[in-house]
Amino acid sequence: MNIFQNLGLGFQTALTLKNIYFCFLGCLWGSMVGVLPGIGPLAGIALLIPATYGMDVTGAIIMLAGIYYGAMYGGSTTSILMNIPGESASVVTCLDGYQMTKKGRAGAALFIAAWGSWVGGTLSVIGIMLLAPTLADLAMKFGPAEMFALLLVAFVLLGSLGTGSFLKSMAMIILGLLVGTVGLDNLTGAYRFTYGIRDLSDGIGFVPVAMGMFGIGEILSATEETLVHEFYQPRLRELLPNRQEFAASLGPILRGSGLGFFAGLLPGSAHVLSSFLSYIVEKRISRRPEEFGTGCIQGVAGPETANNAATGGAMVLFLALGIPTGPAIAVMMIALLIHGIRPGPLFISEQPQLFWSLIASMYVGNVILVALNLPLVGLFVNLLRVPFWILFPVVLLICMIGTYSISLSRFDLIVLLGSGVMGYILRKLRYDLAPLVLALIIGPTLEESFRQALMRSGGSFAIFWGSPMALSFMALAAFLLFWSIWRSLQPVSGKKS
Amino acid sequence: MSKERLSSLLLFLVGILALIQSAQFPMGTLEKPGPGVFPLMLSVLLAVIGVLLLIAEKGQGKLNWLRIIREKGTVWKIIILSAAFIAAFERLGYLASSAAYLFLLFFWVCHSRAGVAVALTAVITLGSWYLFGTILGLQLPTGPRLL
Amino acid sequence: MKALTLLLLLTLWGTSTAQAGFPERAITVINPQAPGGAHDAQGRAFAAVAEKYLGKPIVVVNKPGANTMIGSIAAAQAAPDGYTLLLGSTMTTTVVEWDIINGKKPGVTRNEFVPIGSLTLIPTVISVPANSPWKSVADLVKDAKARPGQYAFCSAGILSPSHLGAELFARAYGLKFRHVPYKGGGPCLSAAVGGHVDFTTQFTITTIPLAQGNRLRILAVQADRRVKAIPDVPTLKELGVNAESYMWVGLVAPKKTPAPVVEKLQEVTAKAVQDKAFGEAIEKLGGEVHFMNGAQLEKYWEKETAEMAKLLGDLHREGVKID
Repeated sequence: MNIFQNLGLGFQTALTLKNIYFCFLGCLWGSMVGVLPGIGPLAGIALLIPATYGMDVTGAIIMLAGIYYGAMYGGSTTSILMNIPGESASVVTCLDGYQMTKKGRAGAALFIAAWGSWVGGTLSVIGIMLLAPTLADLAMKFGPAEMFALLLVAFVLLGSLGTGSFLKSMAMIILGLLVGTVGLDNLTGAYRFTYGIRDLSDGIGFVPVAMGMFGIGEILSATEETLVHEFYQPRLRELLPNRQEFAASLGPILRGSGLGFFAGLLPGSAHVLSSFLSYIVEKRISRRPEEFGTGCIQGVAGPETANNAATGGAMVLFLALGIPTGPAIAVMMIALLIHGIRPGPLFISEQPQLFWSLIASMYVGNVILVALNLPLVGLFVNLLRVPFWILFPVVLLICMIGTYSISLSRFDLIVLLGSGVMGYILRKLRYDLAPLVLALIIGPTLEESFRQALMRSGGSFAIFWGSPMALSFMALAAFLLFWSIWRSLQPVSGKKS
Repeated sequence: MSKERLSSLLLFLVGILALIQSAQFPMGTLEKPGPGVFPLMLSVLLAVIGVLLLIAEKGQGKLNWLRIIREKGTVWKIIILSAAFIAAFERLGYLASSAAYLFLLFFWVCHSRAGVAVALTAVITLGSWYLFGTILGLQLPTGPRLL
Repeated sequence: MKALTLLLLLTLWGTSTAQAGFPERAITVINPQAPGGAHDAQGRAFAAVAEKYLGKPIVVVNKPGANTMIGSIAAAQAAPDGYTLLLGSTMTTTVVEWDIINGKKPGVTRNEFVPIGSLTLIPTVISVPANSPWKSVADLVKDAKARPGQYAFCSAGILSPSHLGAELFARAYGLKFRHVPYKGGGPCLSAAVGGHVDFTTQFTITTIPLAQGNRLRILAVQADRRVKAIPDVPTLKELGVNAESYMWVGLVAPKKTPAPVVEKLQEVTAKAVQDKAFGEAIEKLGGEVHFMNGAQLEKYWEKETAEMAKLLGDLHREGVKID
């Protein structure tokens, strides 16, 4: 049975009225939870599990998967319109997306985000279809040493993220890393910087911090001067990207798809890493890197495509091996278990019907999503026309609820407000926020991988260049580091290189 | 002292404080790196950067504390209201606290008319209660049970 | 005086109506672990089946944090009216005992809860990557004795059952290993499958599918009888060693919950756990249903606490530094 025959059978099942309906429901629900900040696909899936009890398993998995990749479409909306990252993967979208809104290009940004998401999502499904077992093997080769090496590359690249002074960005990165150490140290069971406060024992969550620093900080800044903000009436032409923007986003979208898909294979903070890596790569490749951070379409196209492609990548390990790479997928797995299906390496061969229906439905779902989201661009952009003084209290309330819904913890709300104040102050002092938040996200894994690698090797550093993957990433990190330093020394010295 | 210098100084102080704390964590061995290694390194780096920034960025102008407290009225109000909301949220329940929060934001901070504020508050509070509580099925605190 | 009588009457009326109509609305089960784990799977499978017997929805809510302490404390402090329950497990015992041994006041204690019933009692199994040269426990032990401290195992976290299961195993044979903790079962199993560690002791639920897919090889079960899904795998008991390691998952309620409510909950739980649908779900998970009613669970919990106290005491004395 070749792939196309299988796919054909899959489509037969996926395109039944019933399953299209479930797919639509899942995508709709996913978009909704994606748009609302704080609530992510995890909550969306967990909330709907009871509803799937009476359903047949194919419909159930189609719906739940729809929620998962659907949420990635919605996450960019609040990031672009209000500088509030709907969830971790959309933090990077805030950087240029919100700037585009300020320049009146919100519609274009939302459009390209939806468009890129479709391309990324679809290409990643093709990836799963063709490569699932091979990729699973590749992902398995990623041990702590390789993970550390890869994150080291990301970390070196973090430094070039900021738009301001290098020292100030570094300060933010270090601060972010430090804040990341707060809490229970998973490798020794020791509590760091918790001072006996039990709520701190899991550390300071980055979702409240990101929402606070970006979103609430922005609101506080905006209300400083005046409560009357000019709103513009968008014309239809302004809702769509112009030809130049379309052309400029083609490259980032293609690169983002590949990058995102492979980043999604990694366990843990896959999604964030994918959008972040895409942003960095685009900035490096671009002929005008100074434009990044001021509302550059490539800064939206790449990351948004990447985080959707990452959902595909994340599902590879789950489908091929039955190992969940993140909480949302784990909950999907539970839904399958409740229906009596056991995900594992034999899933594809034992349940070809289910697997191929799922694949086919993912193609369908991506189409449904882009059909849902594109017309909504107009609706969302018109949201901006609501007078600011009405809008911002509502946004504040939604941020609060969204944060609370993560773990029903009042402490998270305190972190949210605190980060908001911090973000406001840092903004006044002209420090970049993105390096801090991103360092907070990748810091703990960076440290953990390093120590895990040493614990595995018994203290020997050789593990870091032992495998070809680890060696190449370490080499890349070293190269990038030297290149960054060399570049930053250039204009200061005034001499020709 | 200019605000640039103040911030650099603060960074330096945070670094030193973190340094003191991290030094108390076990450093472990090469085979089993302890929880103290990373924070120690980071706090040293932070303190160093704080010093470097102190030297590099002189900044101008002095910080006028009175001005800060007086001029940023709106910001202060929002922060205080939000803090009150967080404190009351679990105790008074979602409906009561959000209603109070929104109303005060509209009326006190934004100076809207009382009637408009009440109307907006009612719509948004009830609407969001329905959206989050019923449709999304979130567990929102219900406040003191009145029989 | 009149006011007082009125108040008294009202409270009596309030409590009696609360009991009489139990349950009048949905009940909440707090899972003190992050969503997506083995706990979650069992809790949700249970909720799906038990709803029928209860007549009202059962909502599983995740309140992770501090090694199950945050959720456990929330449950202990919840109103003892039967509408908030805790999905308790061995983790609660372990974390509490470790605090006590270290001279710290634990967040909750066993006495703050009344057991309703257990869902499962799942053993850990010793497994190695598929390409490992070890085909039996004997192979493992031989190499480990020859080179102590050379081989590594991974766990789902410090003090997790997978960690303690390995410790028990090591102690029983007098072996020394390197321990690489991961954050959760998923990453740990990935590491095992990828060959980044030499063996791991994880639960049947998560390990068996990988074994059947030829990614892992299960060497032994840490229980007193063989597991149905892997009938060819010997138990450590058969190999002559006492290193059993289980995790129970069950429902508990705050101590002061009124007796009639507790009885009703126990009744519902008993029916649900012994329902065929639940049994099938758990079997697909690779586990086995093991129902203990309130009293039996209480006794088991007591026994487990004593055993944990001993193991953790040993670990503590040997200077294993966990805070």
